[in-house]
Amino acid sequence: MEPNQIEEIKVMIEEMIASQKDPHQSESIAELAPAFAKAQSIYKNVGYNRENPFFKSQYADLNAVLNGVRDALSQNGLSFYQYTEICPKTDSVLLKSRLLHSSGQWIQSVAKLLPPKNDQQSFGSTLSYQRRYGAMTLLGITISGDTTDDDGEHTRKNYEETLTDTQTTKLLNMIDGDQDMINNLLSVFKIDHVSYIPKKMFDGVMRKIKDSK
Amino acid sequence: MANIEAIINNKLEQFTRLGKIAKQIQNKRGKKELLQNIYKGMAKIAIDLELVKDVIFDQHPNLGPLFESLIELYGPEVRGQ
Repeated sequence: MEPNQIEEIKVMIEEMIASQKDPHQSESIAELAPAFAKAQSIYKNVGYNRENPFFKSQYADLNAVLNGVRDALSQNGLSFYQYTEICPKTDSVLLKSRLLHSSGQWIQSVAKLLPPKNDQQSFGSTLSYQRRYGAMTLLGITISGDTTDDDGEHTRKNYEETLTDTQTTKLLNMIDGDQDMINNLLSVFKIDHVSYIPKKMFDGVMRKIKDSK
Repeated sequence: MANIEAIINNKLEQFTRLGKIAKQIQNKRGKKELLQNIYKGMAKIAIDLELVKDVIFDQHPNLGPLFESLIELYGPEVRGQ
């Protein structure tokens, strides 16, 4: 036995492990990561927009989920797509959700589809359901008003009425072009335009701005 | 007919798994024999994949020297088993 060769093998094994690619992301995500962080900071609130009469529950459909993030992603060079693939080992259908950056970098998540019955309708509804959850998981989307969510999220319900045009105009007049003030409001309410401030907060916000002047 | 690509991938996965186990125990006392057996297992996989090694090394260049070292060191013993 050659001790040197054993040492070489040890080093080579370490190199092999270190060089292994993560199958769920591109070799580097150095450009994708900051772009994704920026996109997430300007996500719109997503609230329930559909009802499930069978379970007597509310949910946000895929369209509502993606509408809340599409602009934010696109403004930061990000796109999102999903596709199905047959797993060669198990023959099951996999749903792959992928976030792609304009640099070519990407991250993805994979979920196995488990239709309750072996027919097309069952497959279709399972796919729709899984696509929604796949998008929410990969993109980090939360649904406002989710009873399992915390109080901070609860205040961000999308179905809350937002400022009217008149109120928005009044508010903008009051702000008088103060960009710091605008940025502060956008950050506090986690919105991308002051018109998305909840209507019931209007008086409080106006008072606050007035006091700060 | 079995999917050849799947068989190769499966063997490469086994090889990597053994490599990870080897890394975990390589500096532990009393595990020398186990470590040797793991290296032999890796050498056996390297020998099994010898016919397609060019294809593998194209995709995984870092495996070439490792395969060669393992085969050189343990090949005679593994082949004789």
